[in-house]
Amino acid sequence: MGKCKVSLQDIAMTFQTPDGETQAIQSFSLDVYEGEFVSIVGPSGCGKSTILNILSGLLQPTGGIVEVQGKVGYMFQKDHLFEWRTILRNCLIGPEIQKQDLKAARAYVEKLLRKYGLGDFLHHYPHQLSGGMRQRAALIRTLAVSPDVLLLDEPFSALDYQTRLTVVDEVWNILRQERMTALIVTHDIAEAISLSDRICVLSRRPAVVKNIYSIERTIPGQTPLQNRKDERFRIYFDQIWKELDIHAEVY
Amino acid sequence: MPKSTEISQQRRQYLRQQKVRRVSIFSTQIAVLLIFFGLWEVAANLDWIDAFITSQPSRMWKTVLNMHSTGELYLHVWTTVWETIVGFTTGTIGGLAIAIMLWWSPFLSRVADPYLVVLNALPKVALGPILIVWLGNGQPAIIVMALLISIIVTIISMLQGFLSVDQDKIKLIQAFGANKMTILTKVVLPASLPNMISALKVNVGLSWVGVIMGEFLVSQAGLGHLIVYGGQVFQLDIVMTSVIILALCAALMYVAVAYAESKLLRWRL
Repeated sequence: MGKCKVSLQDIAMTFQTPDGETQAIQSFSLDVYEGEFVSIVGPSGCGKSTILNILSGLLQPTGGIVEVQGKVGYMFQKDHLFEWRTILRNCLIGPEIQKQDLKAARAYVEKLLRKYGLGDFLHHYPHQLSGGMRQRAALIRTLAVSPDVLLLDEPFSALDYQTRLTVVDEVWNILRQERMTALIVTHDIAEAISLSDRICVLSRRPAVVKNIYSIERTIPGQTPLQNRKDERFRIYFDQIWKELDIHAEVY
Repeated sequence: MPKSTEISQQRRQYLRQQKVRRVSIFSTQIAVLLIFFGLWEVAANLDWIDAFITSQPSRMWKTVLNMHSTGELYLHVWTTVWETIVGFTTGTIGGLAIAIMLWWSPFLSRVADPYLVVLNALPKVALGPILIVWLGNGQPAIIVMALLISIIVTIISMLQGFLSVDQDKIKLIQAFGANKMTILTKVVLPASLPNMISALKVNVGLSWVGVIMGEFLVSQAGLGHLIVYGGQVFQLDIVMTSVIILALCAALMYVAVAYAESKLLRWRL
Protein backbone atom coordinates (compact mmCIF):
# COMPACT_ATOMS: atom_id res chain seq x y z
CA MET A 1 0.00 0.00 0.00
CA GLY A 2 1.30 3.43 -0.98
CA LYS A 3 1.60 6.51 1.15
CA CYS A 4 -1.31 8.12 2.91
CA LYS A 5 -3.00 10.78 0.72
CA VAL A 6 -5.92 11.73 2.89
CA SER A 7 -6.12 11.54 6.63
CA LEU A 8 -9.21 12.46 8.60
CA GLN A 9 -9.08 12.17 12.36
CA ASP A 10 -12.02 12.53 14.70
CA ILE A 11 -13.86 14.89 12.40
CA ALA A 12 -16.95 16.44 13.98
CA MET A 13 -19.44 18.77 12.33
CA THR A 14 -22.32 20.67 13.83
CA PHE A 15 -24.50 23.02 11.77
CA GLN A 16 -26.09 26.10 13.29
CA THR A 17 -29.42 27.36 11.99
CA PRO A 18 -32.02 29.73 13.48
CA ASP A 19 -34.11 26.66 14.40
CA GLY A 20 -31.35 25.03 16.41
CA GLU A 21 -28.21 23.04 15.91
CA THR A 22 -27.79 19.79 14.06
CA GLN A 23 -24.95 17.43 14.76
CA ALA A 24 -24.23 15.95 11.34
CA ILE A 25 -21.04 14.07 12.14
CA GLN A 26 -20.15 12.89 15.58
CA SER A 27 -16.78 11.36 14.92
CA PHE A 28 -15.27 10.30 11.63
CA SER A 29 -11.79 8.95 10.98
CA LEU A 30 -10.50 7.56 7.70
CA ASP A 31 -7.17 7.23 5.89
CA VAL A 32 -7.04 6.91 2.12
CA TYR A 33 -3.86 5.64 0.47
CA GLU A 34 -2.38 6.45 -2.90
CA GLY A 35 -4.18 4.82 -5.82
CA GLU A 36 -7.01 3.58 -3.64
CA PHE A 37 -10.75 3.82 -4.37
CA VAL A 38 -12.67 4.22 -1.15
CA SER A 39 -16.47 4.51 -0.96
CA ILE A 40 -18.49 6.00 1.81
CA VAL A 41 -21.99 4.55 2.06
CA GLY A 42 -24.67 5.40 4.57
CA PRO A 43 -28.35 6.15 4.92
CA SER A 44 -29.53 9.30 3.16
CA GLY A 45 -28.96 12.51 5.06
CA CYS A 46 -26.23 11.02 7.24
CA GLY A 47 -23.63 13.62 6.34
CA LYS A 48 -21.73 11.78 3.60
CA SER A 49 -21.51 14.85 1.38
CA THR A 50 -20.52 16.96 4.37
CA ILE A 51 -17.35 14.89 4.63
CA LEU A 52 -16.44 15.71 1.03
CA ASN A 53 -17.23 19.38 1.55
CA ILE A 54 -14.88 19.39 4.53
CA LEU A 55 -12.16 17.64 2.54
CA SER A 56 -12.40 20.10 -0.33
CA GLY A 57 -12.18 23.05 2.03
CA LEU A 58 -15.70 24.29 1.33
CA LEU A 59 -16.60 23.70 4.99
CA GLN A 60 -14.59 24.03 8.16
CA PRO A 61 -15.18 21.09 10.54
CA THR A 62 -16.12 21.99 14.10
CA GLY A 63 -13.59 19.46 15.36
CA GLY A 64 -10.83 17.09 14.29
CA ILE A 65 -7.84 17.17 11.95
CA VAL A 66 -7.91 17.11 8.14
CA GLU A 67 -4.75 16.32 6.21
CA VAL A 68 -4.65 16.11 2.43
CA GLN A 69 -1.47 15.53 0.43
CA GLY A 70 -1.72 17.52 -2.76
CA LYS A 71 -4.61 19.00 -4.68
CA VAL A 72 -8.24 17.93 -4.42
CA GLY A 73 -10.67 17.64 -7.33
CA TYR A 74 -14.42 17.57 -6.74
CA MET A 75 -17.01 15.93 -8.96
CA PHE A 76 -20.71 16.40 -8.31
CA GLN A 77 -23.89 14.44 -8.77
CA LYS A 78 -24.93 16.54 -11.73
CA ASP A 79 -22.36 17.49 -14.34
CA HIS A 80 -23.01 21.24 -13.89
CA LEU A 81 -21.40 22.00 -17.22
CA PHE A 82 -21.92 25.68 -18.02
CA GLU A 83 -24.44 25.90 -20.85
CA TRP A 84 -22.81 29.06 -22.21
CA ARG A 85 -19.37 27.49 -22.64
CA THR A 86 -18.25 24.91 -25.16
CA ILE A 87 -17.05 21.55 -23.85
CA LEU A 88 -13.41 22.61 -24.24
CA ARG A 89 -13.93 25.91 -22.43
CA ASN A 90 -15.94 24.14 -19.72
CA CYS A 91 -13.00 21.85 -19.10
CA LEU A 92 -10.65 24.84 -18.90
CA ILE A 93 -12.59 26.60 -16.14
CA GLY A 94 -10.36 25.13 -13.40
CA PRO A 95 -7.03 26.21 -14.92
CA GLU A 96 -8.61 29.58 -15.72
CA ILE A 97 -9.60 30.19 -12.10
CA GLN A 98 -6.28 28.97 -10.79
CA LYS A 99 -4.50 31.22 -13.29
CA GLN A 100 -2.47 28.38 -14.76
CA ASP A 101 -0.71 28.51 -18.09
CA LEU A 102 -3.76 28.23 -20.35
CA LYS A 103 -1.86 27.06 -23.39
CA ALA A 104 -0.40 24.07 -21.59
CA ALA A 105 -3.75 23.41 -19.88
CA ARG A 106 -5.52 23.51 -23.22
CA ALA A 107 -3.12 21.02 -24.76
CA TYR A 108 -3.58 18.70 -21.78
CA VAL A 109 -7.38 18.99 -21.76
CA GLU A 110 -7.60 18.46 -25.51
CA LYS A 111 -5.48 15.35 -25.13
CA LEU A 112 -7.77 14.00 -22.40
CA LEU A 113 -10.92 14.81 -24.37
CA ARG A 114 -9.58 13.04 -27.45
CA LYS A 115 -8.34 10.08 -25.44
CA TYR A 116 -11.73 9.56 -23.84
CA GLY A 117 -13.85 9.90 -26.95
CA LEU A 118 -14.89 13.54 -26.88
CA GLY A 119 -12.46 14.69 -29.57
CA ASP A 120 -15.27 15.51 -32.00
CA PHE A 121 -17.15 17.58 -29.44
CA LEU A 122 -14.55 20.14 -28.32
CA HIS A 123 -16.55 23.05 -29.70
CA HIS A 124 -20.03 21.70 -28.99
CA TYR A 125 -22.25 23.11 -26.30
CA PRO A 126 -23.28 20.84 -23.38
CA HIS A 127 -26.90 20.46 -24.50
CA GLN A 128 -25.65 18.74 -27.66
CA LEU A 129 -24.13 15.85 -25.67
CA SER A 130 -25.69 12.77 -24.09
CA GLY A 131 -25.83 12.32 -20.32
CA GLY A 132 -22.92 9.89 -20.29
CA MET A 133 -20.73 12.13 -22.44
CA ARG A 134 -21.54 15.12 -20.26
CA GLN A 135 -20.48 13.21 -17.17
CA ARG A 136 -17.22 12.26 -18.89
CA ALA A 137 -16.66 15.91 -19.81
CA ALA A 138 -17.33 16.87 -16.18
CA LEU A 139 -14.72 14.35 -15.06
CA ILE A 140 -12.16 15.76 -17.51
CA ARG A 141 -12.95 19.27 -16.23
CA THR A 142 -12.07 18.01 -12.75
CA LEU A 143 -8.91 16.29 -14.00
CA ALA A 144 -7.79 19.43 -15.87
CA VAL A 145 -6.24 20.91 -12.74
CA SER A 146 -4.27 17.67 -12.18
CA PRO A 147 -5.70 16.84 -8.76
CA ASP A 148 -3.98 14.25 -6.57
CA VAL A 149 -7.18 13.14 -4.87
CA LEU A 150 -10.61 13.02 -6.47
CA LEU A 151 -13.80 13.44 -4.46
CA LEU A 152 -16.92 12.11 -6.14
CA ASP A 153 -20.31 12.95 -4.67
CA GLU A 154 -22.93 10.49 -6.00
CA PRO A 155 -21.39 11.01 -9.43
CA PHE A 156 -23.69 8.57 -11.23
CA SER A 157 -27.04 8.95 -9.53
CA ALA A 158 -28.39 11.50 -12.03
CA LEU A 159 -27.97 9.02 -14.89
CA ASP A 160 -30.46 6.38 -15.97
CA TYR A 161 -29.62 2.82 -14.97
CA GLN A 162 -28.13 1.55 -18.24
CA THR A 163 -26.07 4.65 -18.91
CA ARG A 164 -24.94 4.43 -15.36
CA LEU A 165 -23.43 0.97 -15.65
CA THR A 166 -21.36 2.02 -18.66
CA VAL A 167 -20.38 5.39 -17.20
CA VAL A 168 -19.18 3.74 -13.99
CA ASP A 169 -16.89 1.58 -16.11
CA GLU A 170 -15.72 4.55 -18.15
CA VAL A 171 -14.99 6.69 -15.12
CA TRP A 172 -13.30 3.82 -13.31
CA ASN A 173 -11.18 3.23 -16.39
CA ILE A 174 -10.18 6.89 -16.68
CA LEU A 175 -9.34 7.12 -12.98
CA ARG A 176 -7.20 3.97 -13.16
CA GLN A 177 -5.35 5.19 -16.24
CA GLU A 178 -4.67 8.59 -14.70
CA ARG A 179 -3.60 6.83 -11.46
CA MET A 180 -6.03 8.72 -9.29
CA THR A 181 -6.85 8.28 -5.65
CA ALA A 182 -10.60 8.54 -5.21
CA LEU A 183 -13.08 8.98 -2.41
CA ILE A 184 -16.63 8.27 -3.57
CA VAL A 185 -19.84 9.02 -1.72
CA THR A 186 -22.82 6.93 -2.76
CA HIS A 187 -26.02 5.43 -1.44
CA ASP A 188 -25.87 2.61 -3.98
CA ILE A 189 -24.35 -0.41 -2.21
CA ALA A 190 -23.90 -2.43 -5.40
CA GLU A 191 -22.08 0.43 -7.10
CA ALA A 192 -19.80 0.87 -4.09
CA ILE A 193 -18.89 -2.83 -4.02
CA SER A 194 -18.32 -2.98 -7.76
CA LEU A 195 -15.78 -0.16 -7.92
CA SER A 196 -14.11 0.27 -4.53
CA ASP A 197 -11.11 -1.21 -2.78
CA ARG A 198 -12.59 -0.33 0.58
CA ILE A 199 -16.05 0.67 1.77
CA CYS A 200 -16.69 2.78 4.81
CA VAL A 201 -20.18 2.34 6.28
CA LEU A 202 -21.66 5.24 8.19
CA SER A 203 -24.43 5.22 10.77
CA ARG A 204 -27.44 7.50 10.74
CA ARG A 205 -26.98 11.08 11.92
CA PRO A 206 -24.96 12.03 13.90
CA ALA A 207 -22.66 9.92 11.78
CA VAL A 208 -20.01 7.60 13.15
CA VAL A 209 -18.06 4.95 11.23
CA LYS A 210 -19.87 1.64 11.69
CA ASN A 211 -17.43 -0.52 9.81
CA ILE A 212 -14.81 -0.48 7.07
CA TYR A 213 -14.77 -3.36 4.56
CA SER A 214 -11.79 -4.31 2.43
CA ILE A 215 -13.19 -5.72 -0.79
CA GLU A 216 -11.37 -8.82 -2.06
CA ARG A 217 -11.87 -9.91 -5.68
CA THR A 218 -11.72 -13.46 -6.97
CA ILE A 219 -10.16 -12.09 -10.16
CA PRO A 220 -8.36 -8.80 -9.46
CA GLY A 221 -8.17 -5.95 -11.99
CA GLN A 222 -11.62 -6.40 -13.53
CA THR A 223 -13.96 -3.54 -14.40
CA PRO A 224 -16.83 -2.65 -12.06
CA LEU A 225 -19.35 -4.27 -14.41
CA GLN A 226 -17.40 -7.52 -14.40
CA ASN A 227 -16.97 -7.29 -10.63
CA ARG A 228 -20.74 -7.43 -10.28
CA LYS A 229 -20.56 -11.07 -11.42
CA ASP A 230 -17.99 -11.92 -8.72
CA GLU A 231 -19.27 -14.69 -6.41
CA ARG A 232 -18.41 -12.62 -3.32
CA PHE A 233 -20.42 -9.65 -4.56
CA ARG A 234 -23.65 -10.99 -3.03
CA ILE A 235 -21.98 -11.74 0.30
CA TYR A 236 -20.61 -8.21 0.63
CA PHE A 237 -23.95 -6.81 -0.45
CA ASP A 238 -25.83 -8.73 2.25
CA GLN A 239 -23.32 -7.77 4.94
CA ILE A 240 -23.44 -4.07 4.12
CA TRP A 241 -27.19 -4.10 3.66
CA LYS A 242 -27.58 -5.57 7.16
CA GLU A 243 -25.12 -3.07 8.53
CA LEU A 244 -27.05 -0.15 7.07
CA ASP A 245 -30.20 -1.52 8.66
CA ILE A 246 -32.35 0.39 6.21
CA HIS A 247 -35.31 -1.98 6.20
CA ALA A 248 -35.72 -1.87 9.98
CA GLU A 249 -35.78 1.90 10.22
CA VAL A 250 -38.92 3.43 11.66
CA TYR A 251 -39.46 7.07 10.90
CA MET B 1 -33.83 7.04 -42.75
CA PRO B 2 -33.68 9.17 -45.90
CA LYS B 3 -30.61 11.34 -46.41
CA SER B 4 -30.99 15.10 -46.54
CA THR B 5 -30.66 15.07 -50.32
CA GLU B 6 -33.64 12.82 -50.96
CA ILE B 7 -36.70 14.08 -49.11
CA SER B 8 -39.58 11.67 -48.59
CA GLN B 9 -43.02 12.36 -50.00
CA GLN B 10 -44.52 12.95 -46.54
CA ARG B 11 -41.71 15.29 -45.56
CA ARG B 12 -42.23 17.35 -48.69
CA GLN B 13 -45.95 17.55 -48.01
CA TYR B 14 -45.31 18.55 -44.39
CA LEU B 15 -42.87 21.29 -45.42
CA ARG B 16 -45.34 22.60 -47.99
CA GLN B 17 -48.10 22.74 -45.38
CA GLN B 18 -45.81 24.63 -43.02
CA LYS B 19 -44.95 27.12 -45.75
CA VAL B 20 -48.57 27.65 -46.73
CA ARG B 21 -49.39 28.30 -43.09
CA ARG B 22 -46.58 30.83 -42.68
CA VAL B 23 -47.53 32.68 -45.84
CA SER B 24 -51.22 32.78 -44.96
CA ILE B 25 -50.53 34.13 -41.46
CA PHE B 26 -48.29 36.87 -42.83
CA SER B 27 -50.65 37.86 -45.64
CA THR B 28 -53.58 38.01 -43.20
CA GLN B 29 -51.56 40.28 -40.95
CA ILE B 30 -50.86 42.62 -43.87
CA ALA B 31 -54.51 42.44 -44.95
CA VAL B 32 -55.73 43.44 -41.46
CA LEU B 33 -53.47 46.50 -41.59
CA LEU B 34 -54.56 47.50 -45.10
CA ILE B 35 -58.26 46.99 -44.36
CA PHE B 36 -57.99 49.00 -41.15
CA PHE B 37 -56.39 52.01 -42.84
CA GLY B 38 -58.51 51.60 -45.98
CA LEU B 39 -61.77 51.58 -43.99
CA TRP B 40 -60.57 54.56 -41.99
CA GLU B 41 -59.84 56.51 -45.18
CA VAL B 42 -63.12 55.56 -46.86
CA ALA B 43 -65.21 56.20 -43.75
CA ALA B 44 -63.73 59.67 -43.44
CA ASN B 45 -64.26 60.45 -47.11
CA LEU B 46 -67.90 59.31 -46.99
CA ASP B 47 -68.47 61.28 -43.78
CA TRP B 48 -69.32 58.17 -41.74
CA ILE B 49 -66.90 59.56 -39.21
CA ASP B 50 -65.77 63.10 -38.57
CA ALA B 51 -62.22 63.43 -39.92
CA PHE B 52 -61.76 66.53 -37.77
CA ILE B 53 -61.68 64.43 -34.61
CA THR B 54 -60.51 61.08 -36.03
CA SER B 55 -58.12 62.34 -38.72
CA GLN B 56 -57.60 60.02 -41.70
CA PRO B 57 -54.64 58.23 -43.34
CA SER B 58 -54.31 60.63 -46.30
CA ARG B 59 -54.24 63.65 -43.98
CA MET B 60 -51.71 61.90 -41.77
CA TRP B 61 -49.54 61.25 -44.80
CA LYS B 62 -49.75 64.92 -45.74
CA THR B 63 -48.76 65.81 -42.18
CA VAL B 64 -45.71 63.56 -42.44
CA LEU B 65 -44.67 65.12 -45.75
CA ASN B 66 -45.19 68.57 -44.31
CA MET B 67 -43.11 67.87 -41.24
CA HIS B 68 -40.48 66.22 -43.43
CA SER B 69 -40.10 69.33 -45.58
CA THR B 70 -39.71 71.61 -42.57
CA GLY B 71 -37.39 69.12 -40.91
CA GLU B 72 -39.62 69.14 -37.83
CA LEU B 73 -40.26 65.40 -38.14
CA TYR B 74 -36.62 64.51 -37.51
CA LEU B 75 -36.24 66.95 -34.64
CA HIS B 76 -39.18 65.45 -32.76
CA VAL B 77 -38.42 61.83 -33.53
CA TRP B 78 -34.76 62.24 -32.66
CA THR B 79 -35.51 64.10 -29.41
CA THR B 80 -37.77 61.33 -28.17
CA VAL B 81 -35.57 58.47 -29.40
CA TRP B 82 -32.50 60.07 -27.82
CA GLU B 83 -34.23 60.57 -24.48
CA THR B 84 -35.43 56.97 -24.57
CA ILE B 85 -32.01 55.56 -25.40
CA VAL B 86 -30.33 57.57 -22.64
CA GLY B 87 -33.03 56.68 -20.09
CA PHE B 88 -32.98 53.02 -21.13
CA THR B 89 -29.18 52.74 -21.03
CA THR B 90 -28.69 54.51 -17.72
CA GLY B 91 -31.63 52.68 -16.16
CA THR B 92 -30.28 49.32 -17.28
CA ILE B 93 -26.64 49.96 -16.38
CA GLY B 94 -27.54 51.63 -13.07
CA GLY B 95 -29.97 48.84 -12.21
CA LEU B 96 -27.39 46.21 -13.07
CA ALA B 97 -24.73 47.91 -10.95
CA ILE B 98 -27.03 48.20 -7.95
CA ALA B 99 -28.20 44.60 -8.37
CA ILE B 100 -24.55 43.46 -8.36
CA MET B 101 -23.92 45.46 -5.18
CA LEU B 102 -26.92 43.90 -3.47
CA TRP B 103 -25.86 40.41 -4.58
CA TRP B 104 -22.38 41.07 -3.23
CA SER B 105 -23.62 42.07 0.19
CA PRO B 106 -26.57 40.02 1.51
CA PHE B 107 -26.70 42.44 4.44
CA LEU B 108 -27.24 45.41 2.14
CA SER B 109 -29.80 43.40 0.20
CA ARG B 110 -31.81 42.65 3.35
CA VAL B 111 -31.66 46.31 4.35
CA ALA B 112 -32.77 47.48 0.91
CA ASP B 113 -35.60 44.97 0.56
CA PRO B 114 -38.54 46.96 2.04
CA TYR B 115 -37.42 50.14 0.26
CA LEU B 116 -37.33 48.38 -3.08
CA VAL B 117 -40.81 46.99 -2.51
CA VAL B 118 -42.23 50.45 -1.73
CA LEU B 119 -40.36 52.17 -4.58
CA ASN B 120 -41.54 49.50 -6.98
CA ALA B 121 -45.17 49.96 -5.93
CA LEU B 122 -44.99 53.77 -6.17
CA PRO B 123 -46.22 55.16 -9.51
CA LYS B 124 -43.13 57.02 -10.65
CA VAL B 125 -45.20 59.58 -12.58
CA ALA B 126 -46.15 61.04 -9.20
CA LEU B 127 -42.55 62.22 -8.91
CA GLY B 128 -42.90 64.31 -12.09
CA PRO B 129 -43.55 67.70 -10.45
CA ILE B 130 -40.66 67.11 -8.03
CA LEU B 131 -38.31 66.34 -10.91
CA ILE B 132 -39.38 69.49 -12.75
CA VAL B 133 -38.73 71.63 -9.69
CA TRP B 134 -35.36 70.02 -9.09
CA LEU B 135 -34.08 69.53 -12.63
CA GLY B 136 -35.84 72.29 -14.49
CA ASN B 137 -38.13 72.44 -17.44
CA GLY B 138 -36.13 70.36 -19.86
CA GLN B 139 -34.65 67.12 -21.07
CA PRO B 140 -32.91 66.12 -17.80
CA ALA B 141 -36.29 65.83 -16.04
CA ILE B 142 -37.64 63.65 -18.88
CA ILE B 143 -34.61 61.37 -18.92
CA VAL B 144 -34.65 60.95 -15.15
CA MET B 145 -38.33 60.06 -15.36
CA ALA B 146 -37.55 57.31 -17.89
CA LEU B 147 -34.66 56.14 -15.72
CA LEU B 148 -36.74 56.00 -12.54
CA ILE B 149 -39.46 53.99 -14.22
CA SER B 150 -37.06 51.29 -15.41
CA ILE B 151 -34.37 51.16 -12.73
CA ILE B 152 -36.33 49.65 -9.83
CA VAL B 153 -37.76 46.84 -11.93
CA THR B 154 -34.27 46.19 -13.30
CA ILE B 155 -32.77 45.93 -9.81
CA ILE B 156 -35.47 43.57 -8.58
CA SER B 157 -35.54 41.25 -11.58
CA MET B 158 -31.74 41.10 -11.98
CA LEU B 159 -31.15 40.42 -8.29
CA GLN B 160 -33.72 37.67 -8.40
CA GLY B 161 -31.88 36.20 -11.38
CA PHE B 162 -28.52 36.39 -9.61
CA LEU B 163 -29.91 34.66 -6.54
CA SER B 164 -31.55 31.88 -8.51
CA VAL B 165 -28.25 30.74 -10.06
CA ASP B 166 -27.72 27.08 -9.18
CA GLN B 167 -25.81 27.00 -5.87
CA ASP B 168 -23.99 23.84 -6.94
CA LYS B 169 -22.47 25.67 -9.91
CA ILE B 170 -21.08 28.20 -7.44
CA LYS B 171 -19.87 25.40 -5.20
CA LEU B 172 -18.21 23.79 -8.18
CA ILE B 173 -16.00 26.76 -8.95
CA GLN B 174 -15.40 27.43 -5.27
CA ALA B 175 -13.93 23.93 -5.16
CA PHE B 176 -11.52 25.18 -7.84
CA GLY B 177 -10.62 28.03 -5.49
CA ALA B 178 -12.75 30.82 -6.97
CA ASN B 179 -13.23 34.05 -4.99
CA LYS B 180 -16.36 36.19 -5.01
CA MET B 181 -15.27 38.27 -8.01
CA THR B 182 -14.61 35.12 -10.04
CA ILE B 183 -17.98 33.67 -9.01
CA LEU B 184 -19.61 36.87 -10.25
CA THR B 185 -17.86 37.06 -13.60
CA LYS B 186 -17.60 33.36 -14.46
CA VAL B 187 -20.93 32.03 -13.19
CA VAL B 188 -23.46 34.54 -11.90
CA LEU B 189 -23.34 37.04 -14.77
CA PRO B 190 -23.21 34.58 -17.69
CA ALA B 191 -25.87 32.37 -16.08
CA SER B 192 -28.13 35.41 -15.68
CA LEU B 193 -27.73 36.55 -19.27
CA PRO B 194 -31.15 35.25 -20.41
CA ASN B 195 -32.66 36.96 -17.40
CA MET B 196 -30.86 40.22 -18.20
CA ILE B 197 -32.11 40.20 -21.73
CA SER B 198 -35.71 39.73 -20.70
CA ALA B 199 -35.17 42.66 -18.31
CA LEU B 200 -33.89 44.69 -21.28
CA LYS B 201 -37.03 43.88 -23.25
CA VAL B 202 -39.22 45.07 -20.40
CA ASN B 203 -37.03 48.15 -19.98
CA VAL B 204 -37.39 49.24 -23.58
CA GLY B 205 -41.14 49.46 -23.10
CA LEU B 206 -40.87 51.15 -19.71
CA SER B 207 -38.41 53.76 -20.99
CA TRP B 208 -40.87 54.79 -23.70
CA VAL B 209 -43.56 55.15 -21.04
CA GLY B 210 -41.22 57.29 -18.94
CA VAL B 211 -40.17 59.53 -21.82
CA ILE B 212 -43.68 60.12 -23.11
CA MET B 213 -44.95 60.82 -19.57
CA GLY B 214 -42.06 63.22 -19.10
CA GLU B 215 -42.77 64.95 -22.38
CA PHE B 216 -46.45 65.28 -21.47
CA LEU B 217 -45.38 67.17 -18.34
CA VAL B 218 -42.57 69.34 -19.70
CA SER B 219 -41.05 69.61 -23.14
CA GLN B 220 -40.27 71.83 -26.07
CA ALA B 221 -39.89 68.99 -28.55
CA GLY B 222 -40.48 65.29 -29.00
CA LEU B 223 -43.32 63.00 -30.01
CA GLY B 224 -44.96 63.28 -26.57
CA HIS B 225 -44.83 67.05 -26.94
CA LEU B 226 -46.42 66.82 -30.39
CA ILE B 227 -49.21 64.61 -29.07
CA VAL B 228 -50.06 66.96 -26.22
CA TYR B 229 -49.72 70.04 -28.43
CA GLY B 230 -51.87 68.53 -31.18
CA GLY B 231 -54.53 67.64 -28.61
CA GLN B 232 -54.55 71.14 -27.17
CA VAL B 233 -55.00 72.86 -30.55
CA PHE B 234 -57.41 70.18 -31.80
CA GLN B 235 -55.06 69.12 -34.60
CA LEU B 236 -55.86 65.39 -34.52
CA ASP B 237 -53.76 64.90 -37.67
CA ILE B 238 -50.65 65.68 -35.63
CA VAL B 239 -51.76 63.51 -32.71
CA MET B 240 -52.54 60.44 -34.81
CA THR B 241 -49.40 60.82 -36.93
CA SER B 242 -47.23 61.09 -33.82
CA VAL B 243 -48.83 58.07 -32.21
CA ILE B 244 -48.15 55.97 -35.29
CA ILE B 245 -44.55 57.15 -35.60
CA LEU B 246 -44.12 56.41 -31.90
CA ALA B 247 -45.46 52.87 -32.38
CA LEU B 248 -43.00 52.33 -35.24
CA CYS B 249 -40.03 53.61 -33.21
CA ALA B 250 -40.93 51.48 -30.19
CA ALA B 251 -41.32 48.40 -32.38
CA LEU B 252 -37.95 49.02 -34.06
CA MET B 253 -36.18 49.35 -30.72
CA TYR B 254 -37.79 46.13 -29.49
CA VAL B 255 -36.67 44.32 -32.63
CA ALA B 256 -33.13 45.57 -32.04
CA VAL B 257 -33.09 44.10 -28.53
CA ALA B 258 -34.57 40.82 -29.77
CA TYR B 259 -31.82 40.68 -32.41
CA ALA B 260 -29.18 41.24 -29.74
CA GLU B 261 -30.77 38.41 -27.77
CA SER B 262 -30.51 35.94 -30.63
CA LYS B 263 -26.83 36.89 -31.10
CA LEU B 264 -25.93 36.69 -27.41
CA LEU B 265 -27.81 33.52 -26.53
CA ARG B 266 -26.64 31.29 -29.34
CA TRP B 267 -25.59 28.63 -26.82
CA ARG B 268 -29.19 28.04 -25.86
CA LEU B 269 -30.28 26.33 -29.05
